Amino acid sequence: MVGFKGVYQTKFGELWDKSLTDLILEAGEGAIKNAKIDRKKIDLVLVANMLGGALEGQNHLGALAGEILGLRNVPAFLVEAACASGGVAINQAATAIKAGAAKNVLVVGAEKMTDKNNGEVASALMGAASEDERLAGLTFVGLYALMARVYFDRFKASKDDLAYVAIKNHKHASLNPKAQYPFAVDLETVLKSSCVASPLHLFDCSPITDGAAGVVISGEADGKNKIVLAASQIATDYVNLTKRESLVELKATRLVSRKAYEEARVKPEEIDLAEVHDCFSIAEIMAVEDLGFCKKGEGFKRIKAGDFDLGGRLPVNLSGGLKACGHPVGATGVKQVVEIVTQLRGEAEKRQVKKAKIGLTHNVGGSGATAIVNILKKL
Amino acid sequence: MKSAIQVWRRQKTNYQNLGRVGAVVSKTRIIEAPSGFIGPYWVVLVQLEKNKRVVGQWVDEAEPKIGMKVVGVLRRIGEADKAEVIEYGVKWKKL
Repeated sequence: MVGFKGVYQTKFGELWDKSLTDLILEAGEGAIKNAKIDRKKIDLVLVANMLGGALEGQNHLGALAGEILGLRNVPAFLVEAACASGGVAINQAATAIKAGAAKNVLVVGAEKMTDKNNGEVASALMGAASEDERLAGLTFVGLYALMARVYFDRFKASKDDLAYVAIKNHKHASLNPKAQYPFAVDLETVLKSSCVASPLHLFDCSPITDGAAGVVISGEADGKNKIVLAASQIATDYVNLTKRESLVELKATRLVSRKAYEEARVKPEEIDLAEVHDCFSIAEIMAVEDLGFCKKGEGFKRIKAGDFDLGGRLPVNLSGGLKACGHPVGATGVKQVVEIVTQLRGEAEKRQVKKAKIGLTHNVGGSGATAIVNILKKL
Repeated sequence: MKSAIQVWRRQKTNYQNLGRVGAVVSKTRIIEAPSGFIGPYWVVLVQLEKNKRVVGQWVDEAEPKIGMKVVGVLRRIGEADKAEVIEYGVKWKKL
């Protein structure tokens, strides 16, 4: 069994006094301390990051993490799958343990994004898309906007229906002191926000964020509660949106979730809580559908009805999600796991889901080219 | 930054949709543009023959509409940056 010994998340936000190195150090030290493990026992370090080279001019993050965390001579390297880097790093840690190549793995997801202006960040993020999409002047907001427009036509949804994703996730973030935006917002604020790429407005978009998260994963479940990784599956699809079969679903999400449910031997209705990849409001709507939490075309109605609120039938994005907790891209997939472990341990304080036993994380790279689902269980 | 060699190499693919006809499937008005482009502008998702879709910038005065018949025309792509290389490719307008 692959279990979670320690977890840690830094504050997410515009952290002007923190460098990429500072963030890796804080998350790594935090996870080691939380795991109460002698760092000499850590025999593999995986760093999840997408933009260190493009925005900070810093590559070679595996060895760098080893250096600053006092884990010298340990194998250490980068895992990159765009915004899914964090989730994939968790998967690779588990794979190394199952293969007998490591016993205790430190995974650190980190991203430093606020040193550069919006155009430079948007352009660097487009490294996760295809050349054709870059030459069309698209951004990630633009790519998801193209999907949103088709979704609206197909399922008779409108721009106003999207607002309930931000309202829910901000409400959850107001209960999470680590969130970038720990406050609630009202419908009027969301609807009146400025347009970024029509039909998506500011409150439909996850922000640009600095932050990091760390996890110590071990060959045995340990600690106060025994929390294990019951499933971890990855699927890929075309990087180029125009080549996908459907524009109203992320096929990779649909496929990977079915494989994960099978591996964990659970049904979607048995999931107690989930952290899904809400990089944009439309992405959360498609995610709850593609993960099988509700029928295709009904996601926006179920979100508005409160199914996925704290206290609802399946709370989604209690951390505040990418929208309100923030989206330091390489850190996001690791943070999702930190949130689920915190919940399953019963340490989530004001946003605690009662009697939570099974949690799911869903992390996406690009506009849907990589999807990863991790399912965590409390034994 | 664009290099002359990159732009030269892309000539092999940049013009393949020149003169092709299709219909608008989706559209977005990009307000916050990436570096190398100056917003706002429309980007359209165009359906060519069966199963072939493309994305490109919109260059017509009229606003693009879903279902509108369109044609690919030759235009400059993005802004010439410090390397002063001007790239050409296909954008879309009403047929």
